[in-house]
Amino acid sequence: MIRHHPDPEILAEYAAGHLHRGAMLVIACHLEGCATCRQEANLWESVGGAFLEDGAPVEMSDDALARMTARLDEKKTVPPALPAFLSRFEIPKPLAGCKIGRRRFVTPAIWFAPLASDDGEPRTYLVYAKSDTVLAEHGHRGREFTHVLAGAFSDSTGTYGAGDFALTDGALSHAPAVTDDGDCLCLISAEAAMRLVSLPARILQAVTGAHY
Amino acid sequence: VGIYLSGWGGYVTDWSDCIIAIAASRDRQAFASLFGHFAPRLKSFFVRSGAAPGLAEDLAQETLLMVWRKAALFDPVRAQASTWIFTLARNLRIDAKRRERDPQAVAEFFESVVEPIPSDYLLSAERDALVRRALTQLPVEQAEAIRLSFYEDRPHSEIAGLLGLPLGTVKSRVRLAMARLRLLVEDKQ
Repeated sequence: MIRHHPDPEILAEYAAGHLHRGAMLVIACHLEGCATCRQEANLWESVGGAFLEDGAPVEMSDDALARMTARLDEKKTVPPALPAFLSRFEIPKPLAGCKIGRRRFVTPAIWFAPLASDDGEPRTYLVYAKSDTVLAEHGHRGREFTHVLAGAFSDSTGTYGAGDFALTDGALSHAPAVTDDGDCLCLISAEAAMRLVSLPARILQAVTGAHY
Repeated sequence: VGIYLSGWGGYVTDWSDCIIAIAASRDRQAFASLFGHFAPRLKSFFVRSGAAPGLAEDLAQETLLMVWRKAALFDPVRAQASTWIFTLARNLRIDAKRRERDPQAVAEFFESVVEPIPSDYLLSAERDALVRRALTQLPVEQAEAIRLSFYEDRPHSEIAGLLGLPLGTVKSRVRLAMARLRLLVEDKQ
């Protein structure tokens, strides 16, 4: 059962496309399993549709349709296959079509796999931690969007299980602990790019408490 | 097939049929009709979102190319054509704004984020009709606030400048307008 949902404000931001792509993906994964939030997001998407329909048209150039028609036979790119290490998990459709990078183990019990290139964009990645693993306390810069794909974790704000959405902001410092409900897999997208500490270093730092 | 909506330009053609025809038989004539209707509206959407006319036209074409390619994913019971097309355009806008900030950026990882999201309690046609009616019932300045912030993606500070209002007033007006719109739609369900 889903216990933690995005706020209506976040769903409106999603519908308007005001979030970064990674956060859009996290919300889309939540929506796939949550009828209540889907209804809320659909409401605002309908508002977008109404404005699109009603907007004063801006004339296209004369040859626009001809140029467009010439492109219809272009081959579409084939979505990448999911990596084998995800085969035992149930992966929501929005995530299934994404290109997922190689996983990197931080400890034998924890790995992460990035979704986006590290070019200063907000970071989006999968994090896996075995049952009963505890991450050392760490802070955040900006908002961080999380969708729990499998298992569950707890921190000072509550327990988050499969299908749940979690939002942390810059003010929260937490020590997520994977419960004994099995291994935990999360999709996480951080709004603020980490400039001083690389992602592996941050996770290692979170795990070991080491600062460098 | 049409739904009469006073204040929203009279009869609205069921563009869903065009998308279904594209999915079923790669119907280029249906695509041309859809293009004729939506391309200028999409261009308007991107121009209002701050894109230069040339870029706006490219993005309008990009959106319709996605309609052509993803037509099979479209389910008219679950999303109206204009709403579905809006979600495609909205995602392209995110990528365009990102490229504007960082011309080297590639969006390939999130290529497939855009999928129609199934709705549950209301048929899409009913919901869209309710939303449109609710928009006409909102005070004009509230509908305008939603259009500027939600649809045109303008920061509250910019809206404040456009409307000659203090920032705080813009923020509360947007919040109020959205709450009121939701109430209007919920009341009708």
